[in-house]
Amino acid sequence: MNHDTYLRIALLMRYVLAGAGLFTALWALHAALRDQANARQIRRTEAEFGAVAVLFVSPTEKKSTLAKLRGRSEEKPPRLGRSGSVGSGRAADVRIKGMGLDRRHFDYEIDKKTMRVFPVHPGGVRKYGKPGDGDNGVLEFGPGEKICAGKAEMYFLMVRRSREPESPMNRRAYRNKRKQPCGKK
Amino acid sequence: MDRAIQLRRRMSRTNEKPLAIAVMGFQAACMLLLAFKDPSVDWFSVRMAVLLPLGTLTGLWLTSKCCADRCMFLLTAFLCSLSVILLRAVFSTTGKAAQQAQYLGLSIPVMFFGVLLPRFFTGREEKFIGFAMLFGVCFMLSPFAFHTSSAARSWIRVLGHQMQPSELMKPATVFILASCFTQGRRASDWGGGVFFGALNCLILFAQKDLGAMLLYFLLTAAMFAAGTGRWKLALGAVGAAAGLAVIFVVFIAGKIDGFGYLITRIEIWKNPWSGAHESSRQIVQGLMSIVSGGLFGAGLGLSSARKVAVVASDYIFAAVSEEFGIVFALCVLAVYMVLLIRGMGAAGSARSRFHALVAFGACFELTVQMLLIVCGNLHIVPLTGVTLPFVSEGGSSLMGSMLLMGMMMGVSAVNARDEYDDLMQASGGREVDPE
Repeated sequence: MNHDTYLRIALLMRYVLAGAGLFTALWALHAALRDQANARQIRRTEAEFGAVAVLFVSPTEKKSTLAKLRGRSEEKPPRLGRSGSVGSGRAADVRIKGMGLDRRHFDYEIDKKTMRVFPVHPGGVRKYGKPGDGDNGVLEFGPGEKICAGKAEMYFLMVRRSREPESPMNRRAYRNKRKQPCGKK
Repeated sequence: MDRAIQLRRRMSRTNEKPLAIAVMGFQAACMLLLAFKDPSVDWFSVRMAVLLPLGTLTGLWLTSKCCADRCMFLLTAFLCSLSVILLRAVFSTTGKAAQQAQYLGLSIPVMFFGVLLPRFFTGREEKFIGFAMLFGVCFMLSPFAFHTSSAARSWIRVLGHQMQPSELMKPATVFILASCFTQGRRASDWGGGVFFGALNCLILFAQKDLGAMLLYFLLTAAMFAAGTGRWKLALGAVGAAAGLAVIFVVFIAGKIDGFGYLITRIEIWKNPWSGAHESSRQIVQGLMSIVSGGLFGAGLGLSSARKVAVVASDYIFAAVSEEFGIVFALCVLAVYMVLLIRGMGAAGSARSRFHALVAFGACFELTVQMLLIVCGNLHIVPLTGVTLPFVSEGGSSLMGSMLLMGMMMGVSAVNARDEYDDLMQASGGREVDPE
């Protein structure tokens, strides 16, 4: 091609290519933020519709409270998502107050019918309440087995899985999200 | 698995068609333009104008089959094709671009191998950890026995091609560290990972590859902090290492043979304009190259970026700025940021700590590497000699980065399958109709 012609086309194409780059970056950013919001919502409702287990906490002291889901006042065994953390702090996914647990005592993940516990607090976690300072390694629990952490004794129970989130608000949001293909209004 | 893909896309994935069209259009337009740069038609560029979009389309189909993140793949394809386009545009011959295209062709299967790895290693990582560590250390040590004439002593020659073991070991290191740091809180659980990371750093120090050493050190510290939750210990280690580095540079480096270049490099960085025609020519030319592109660039194939020393690897970001302009260069940085967001999203959504740590490590490594070289090009930090992931010239760097990206995509694929399993189990084994 003639050099002058190439020069003209290349100078014109600068704007087209910058536009293509800008479109790619902005679309990708928009998609990433949108997917992040969707993933957050799925994670938030995971303990309701993707719940695979409950953690039943047996009160060993009179003044102790049962495990509470974060932000809820009613006392009931918390339903567990696939993974999360247990502790007495607000940041813990399952909050257990007044039973000698650290803010974030242990993390867990549930795969099929096994719960793997990763102790975070140096006090560790014990299996079946065996004596000692607690095990700081990874422990595996099956359904019905007892997890001892601090003064709390917890039973890991398997329950049914629900098809949709249980609370009306989350269920409505989840249905809307499923009906609406992402990227289209 | 098609059903899983549909469900996943409806629930949490954006419609990628516009992005795919934009990326493939960009690849075809750039290569077609370059085909007519010279008086005679450049058939290599014509072939690339067809092969790059075709490769992207094939990869997209494979990504869908693997149930992995299509957006991540498209952005990776965009960056990789940018490498071939730049090498063709900057240099008058097609040699470097053709070689990079060959490496790109080889690295796509490597990336899909990486996609399969997180799924394969689920629950089996402990079986391979000992062997992987031993192999990794031997591989990192190989340049001492088979090194080429490079000054950094970190290259080996295999089948006529030069390669850098430290680049290829990055994905393996991420896997090994993820496996070690998810074992538990006891020092015996994570000690192996810390020892492996420290040994790698020592080997790289002995090879005088300080840029790679910095990357490995930061990777080990970040994965240790994320895996064990001991942030204070990790920060303390980073602080202590920074102090030792300062002491080494100020008091020791000048006295040891082979490390004198460190002091020179820092002097150049502090005042590059004093030796603009001699020692700091590369920095000055790089800065001038970035500025001379202006907002929209000099035009594809019309820049003088070839005058910058080592433009194909160390100063490829300067070439991006001069050829395409600062607006486009900022878009490239935004693409890296999106990859970071998506990688961290995959790590956050992972249901196993091992997968979360693999995605985090891969994402962290690519991001830090990108920041080090871009900041080096912009004269914010001294130049470390690491490559710009996916864009810089080089086979081992490209393969290592593609494998890391593949691992991130593999974790996203495992997440998608977990969600699908939940829905299947929730519906008693029946297919769930999203409508």
